[in-house]
Amino acid sequence: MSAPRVLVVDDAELTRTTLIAVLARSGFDVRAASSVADTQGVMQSWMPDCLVLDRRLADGDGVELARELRAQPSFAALRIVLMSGDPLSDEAAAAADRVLLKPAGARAVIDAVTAALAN
Amino acid sequence: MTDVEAFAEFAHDLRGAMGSLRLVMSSLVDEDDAEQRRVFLTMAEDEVQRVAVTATALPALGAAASDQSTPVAVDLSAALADAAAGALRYGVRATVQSGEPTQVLSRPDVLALVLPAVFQLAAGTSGATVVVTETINHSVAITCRTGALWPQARHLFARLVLAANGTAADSDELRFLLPEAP
Repeated sequence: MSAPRVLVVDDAELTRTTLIAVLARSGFDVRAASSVADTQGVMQSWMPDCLVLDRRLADGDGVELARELRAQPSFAALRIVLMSGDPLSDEAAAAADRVLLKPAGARAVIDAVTAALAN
Repeated sequence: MTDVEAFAEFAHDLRGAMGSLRLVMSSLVDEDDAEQRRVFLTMAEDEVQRVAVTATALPALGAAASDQSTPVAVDLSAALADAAAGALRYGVRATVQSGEPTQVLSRPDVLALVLPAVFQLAAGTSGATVVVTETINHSVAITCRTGALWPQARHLFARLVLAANGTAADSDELRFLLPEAP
């Protein structure tokens, strides 16, 4: 069985690099994107099982991106872990399978991805 | 954007940086690869530098929010020299190459806080920047030569420039315009 695919979407290079390392170390097949446009580009050729998605991106809103993906039948199986610097409303949180409030540690991210994929 | 929204955005940026740093710290516990640890630590140091620059910018934005004074003529050469001395206290060496003495319209107390913050922003992790001024039509362009900027740096720069009653120019460098005093 192949490793679950995780796409990390965050405009902070340090966060991307760290999450790639910790998730890969936990057995996930990991790639990263830095923006909404970058995410859409990656997903045209590489379909992830789970997105670890920052709420605020330079070219858009992570919640809006999650909603757009959720609305497409082709992404019905996609799991989404949303990371946010501020608490989310229930309505916004509903766009994701799991929500992590920053600052979150590496173990919390791994646990959230694992739990989202187990749904 | 209101001042409250701007400060909320800063709080958000700082929380994001803390998030990155916490991720790095917690990942180092399980990191056996010495080279990977070194890479993480170097990146964490850069992130701390970015937080320090953001913290330097906050008093400038606070001053701009509370200062209700009308812009007056300010001796830009003197202001730049004072700002270079101020930036040096933060470990940033700003070399000012200004032309003729020029008077610009700005709020002096705010400008005195904005300029060192802009210098620090431009210097980044290199700790140095060259500042060049030139008069264009009825404005004075102030250009800070910079290396690599992090994604949010231009947004922070634009906020600082606006606080000083200036206009951020579309440029690869950090460049902004202040109106020349009549």
